[in-house]
Amino acid sequence: MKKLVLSTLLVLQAVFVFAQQNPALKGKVIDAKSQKPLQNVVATIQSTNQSALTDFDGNFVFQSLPGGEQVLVVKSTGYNQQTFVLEPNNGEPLDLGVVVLEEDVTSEQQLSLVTITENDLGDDNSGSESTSGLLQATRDTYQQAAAFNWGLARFRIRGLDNEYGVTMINGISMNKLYDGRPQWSNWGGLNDATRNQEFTMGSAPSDYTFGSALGTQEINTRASFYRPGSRISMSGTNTNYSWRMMGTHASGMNKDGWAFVVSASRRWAEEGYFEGTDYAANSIFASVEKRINEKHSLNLTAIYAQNSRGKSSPNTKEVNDLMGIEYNSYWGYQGGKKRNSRDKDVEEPIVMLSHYWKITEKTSLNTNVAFQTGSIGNSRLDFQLGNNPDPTYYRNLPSYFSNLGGYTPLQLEEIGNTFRLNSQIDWDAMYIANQNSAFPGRSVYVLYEDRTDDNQLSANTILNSSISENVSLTAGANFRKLRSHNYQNLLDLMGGQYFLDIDPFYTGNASQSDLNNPNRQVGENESYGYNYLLHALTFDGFTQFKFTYDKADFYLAQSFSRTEYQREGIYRNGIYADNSFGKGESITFENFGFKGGLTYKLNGRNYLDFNGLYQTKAPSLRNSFSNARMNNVITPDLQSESITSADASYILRAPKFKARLTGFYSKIQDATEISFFYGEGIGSDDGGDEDTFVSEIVTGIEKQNMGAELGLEYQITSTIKATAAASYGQYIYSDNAKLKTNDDALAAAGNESLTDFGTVYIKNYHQPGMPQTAASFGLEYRDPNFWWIGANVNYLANSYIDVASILRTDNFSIDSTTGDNYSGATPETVKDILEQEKFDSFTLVNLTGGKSWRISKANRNTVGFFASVNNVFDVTYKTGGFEQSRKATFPDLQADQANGTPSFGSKYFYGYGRTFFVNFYINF
Amino acid sequence: MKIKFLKTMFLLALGTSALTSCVGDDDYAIPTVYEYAFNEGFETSTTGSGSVEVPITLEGWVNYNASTSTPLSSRLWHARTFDDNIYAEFSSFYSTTGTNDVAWLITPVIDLTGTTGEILSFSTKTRFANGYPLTAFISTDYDGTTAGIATATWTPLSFTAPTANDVFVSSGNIDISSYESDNVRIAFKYTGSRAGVTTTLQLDNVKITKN
Repeated sequence: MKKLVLSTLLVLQAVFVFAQQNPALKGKVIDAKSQKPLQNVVATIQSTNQSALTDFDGNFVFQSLPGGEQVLVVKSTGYNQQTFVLEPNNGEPLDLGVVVLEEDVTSEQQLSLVTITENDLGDDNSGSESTSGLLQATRDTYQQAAAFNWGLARFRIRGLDNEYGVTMINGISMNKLYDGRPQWSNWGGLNDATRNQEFTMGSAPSDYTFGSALGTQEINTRASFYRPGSRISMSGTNTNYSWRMMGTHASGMNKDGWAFVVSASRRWAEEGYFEGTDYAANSIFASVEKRINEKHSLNLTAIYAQNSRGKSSPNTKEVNDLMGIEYNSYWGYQGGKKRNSRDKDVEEPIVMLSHYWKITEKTSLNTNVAFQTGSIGNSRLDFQLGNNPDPTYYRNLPSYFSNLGGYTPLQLEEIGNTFRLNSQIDWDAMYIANQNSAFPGRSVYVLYEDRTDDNQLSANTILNSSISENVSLTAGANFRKLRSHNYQNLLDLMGGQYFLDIDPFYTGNASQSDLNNPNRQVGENESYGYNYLLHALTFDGFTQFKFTYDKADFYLAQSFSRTEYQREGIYRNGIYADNSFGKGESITFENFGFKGGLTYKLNGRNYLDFNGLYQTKAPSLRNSFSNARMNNVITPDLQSESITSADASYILRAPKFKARLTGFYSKIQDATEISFFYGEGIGSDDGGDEDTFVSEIVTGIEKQNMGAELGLEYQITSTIKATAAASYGQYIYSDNAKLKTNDDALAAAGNESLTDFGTVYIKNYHQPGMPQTAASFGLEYRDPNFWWIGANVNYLANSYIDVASILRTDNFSIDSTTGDNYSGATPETVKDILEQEKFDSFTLVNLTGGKSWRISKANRNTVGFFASVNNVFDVTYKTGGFEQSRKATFPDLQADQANGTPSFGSKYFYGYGRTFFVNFYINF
Repeated sequence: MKIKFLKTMFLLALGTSALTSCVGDDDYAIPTVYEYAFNEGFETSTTGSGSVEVPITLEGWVNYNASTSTPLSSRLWHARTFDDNIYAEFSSFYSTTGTNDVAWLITPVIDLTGTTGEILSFSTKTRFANGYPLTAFISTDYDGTTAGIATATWTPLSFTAPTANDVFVSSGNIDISSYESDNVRIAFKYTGSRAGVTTTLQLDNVKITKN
């Protein structure tokens, strides 16, 4: 009897166990190198999004499988994913046996991606930069090509500026309220520590934010999410820096519930690719997590990234012809060393406290509070009543004299030679000028920085919940409060005792930067010129529902936001005594957005995907105050932008062949752009070359981006893979806009400072500064002995210059004194002279390769190296450029261009020639 | 089958939408530049000065004094220059005592048949004004002869005249788009006499803009 009971129990247990262990599908995942089981690998059945995690022994199981052919994807961060096509016989369990995952060697490539942020947009005073946003590696072939192969040529996905993407750390937006763009330097050099990333493309749904038309990038710094281990790497390159050292350690979660990650890096260069561009960056990262219990975890993240670099100048064709494309006019020798007059210094540490709360099995809440403080400074030379210290000042160049006329070719050549001898900044001459100042002790020349000191408090909370088997909900709320202190900070009196805080171009009150402290003597590290605060307060919330069914997935999301801006002047400017000091009027925007999309599963391998978005977006802080340095005035005609976007994709996922073809469209309406320049022939011009400094306000800008993108990946053999990617787009201004200028000289003379130039005719001009056509073909060989080599060829074309808006108004063609065309202005001549310059297309060849070795059989310790050569054939190419706005009427522009060497020709940025990157690393 | 169909339709739709909605590189907008069906600023005319009067003899123009007095006045519209600008001028001040002037200055035939939205404008300036001497007409049946002036149908045009001396004033925009299917001539007629109106009248920038 006893026996029977026992055996029955055993049998029952066996039956019970059998019932549990008779899954429809199972497998075991191991690491190719170490042959050890891999835990927490995700296995997903593509048609249903059913997924399973591997356990401690590397096993995964699915209890049920839908009928018909299915595709199973097995993947884990840092490994190549494996795809299996399953043809289950009804009821019969499938055992995949051992699945071997190879480490993804391209993740090394990812860690060596140099973010290109290195030129400023034009020569206005903005601190903002053009970066190839969201260009990080994902598994998408197209996005990889965009990041690794096209990024250096300033390719932008779908032609969209990264203010239309959202970059987040733990769900907190890192896009600056000032200009809407993320400041990449804030976590630059921390490639190891920021490698846990999630991306979405276009308006596809994110689990963290509503997003916009470009996509989202979420960096997760939760300490327990890092793969435990240590890593040290050393790199050498000849791009913007020369050397990089980086070390990272992740502990993994210990049994007391603690996990931590630390990482540090240093990057530096005496001189980067372009002359006089020094570089120094130090970054430290720490993240600590404490699991309080099953439901609650706390994580503290601290990021400190300090970055100082010298900038390089955009140059006219004339200057490049004289000096070569690596020429940089911003530096000069001082005491035998190269000193750059235009440094950018960024130092904005972030601390963030995160709370992870698993409310139920199906619902979790993530709450983060972040504080960021610090400063950004962009240095420049300032001078009062001295000669312009810029070596490329137009009166120093042969073109100025050839345009004056009366010079022989020999004389012009002599002027060119003189320029060559004086082509760098003469620091010593400025120190001497300061010593010999007409007012003893008062500096004529000083070095200052345009300084922004921000304090920003951010908080967010994100709820994720599976409402039912088919429906899930994401809801989030964000709050941001910014106090931004902007001022001119005197860095170096250059041998003088003080600098006088006046604008010598004006007289009387108008010359005073601050009427409350007139004629103030300024010392080093004191503010002068302009000084104001910007306050911003934003709140936004969103909800998103995702529905998952056998044949189709779809989602719907909506968002609401409220934005409030205000300027507070610290100086009472002499020109705008009534509206420059104290708090100005505040301005509020309320915005909303809707989006939705559908993935239709034709079968386990073929998908159709559609996304649509409509949203309105508050203008950036930068564009909300048209003359922020001087007064509290809110940009005239300011309004929210509206954004409409849609895309449609066909996706094929077969084991050996992966393809994606997407058509996309976006329209941005009522955008605003403010820029600053010296101009003549625009209002208060009093003849000659005496120009006025104006701010140009362009409103009602409409941009249309449409095109198609393609990514193909074919595994020819188990070791050889071919990839192809292409993007063909047309990114244009799809309508004319409106232009006004603000001219301080008019205001100083007691006149209305705003001038309405009416329509700016930019319809069908191309959006500038990016190749609108790109194609790439690559081959990669991956040897089973852990080495690999790859090569790719890239064709980039249809990149255009940034056109000057002021030249496209009626002021250009119509003489206001006669009301008629300027002499010689016909539709043909005007069209001809205003044609947008299209840059030459170019082809770049890149090589990459690497090898790694296991140190011991007992563990996963490896050493390895990665090397790449970009632009193997040292092709010279323009990455961007802009027209100067100075010659603003047809006859002036025609005269300037008459003999082929304009004094105010367009300025250009060039890409790197042949560059290399070598990285050695140890993982242990 | 269904998959193939959907795939094909998808690719077709993508392809056609891309092809049909692209703009060419030459399609960009430009600022306003006026285009003229007719534009005469007299800048090529030979000018006289003082008592030397060089009559306007531009190709196709009719310059004729239909004086009715005895003796007849034979003085004509002539070119003068001031401040680098050449214009047509007439004044009865230097006409012989006892004469009157009916001085016509008539444009060549202007073909408006290929254009629409025609706007006429011209500028006038008076000096030593003692009455306004100018009238302007448009005709579709004038034959270009001096004899034909009297028999042609002249429709008067209303325009803005200067209210002060010594400054060119625009006529304003005179809409002549109702003649868009015609060949027309524009006539300027100075009516004065040594004893009556002697105002010096200067005429410049006779233009017809078109769409």
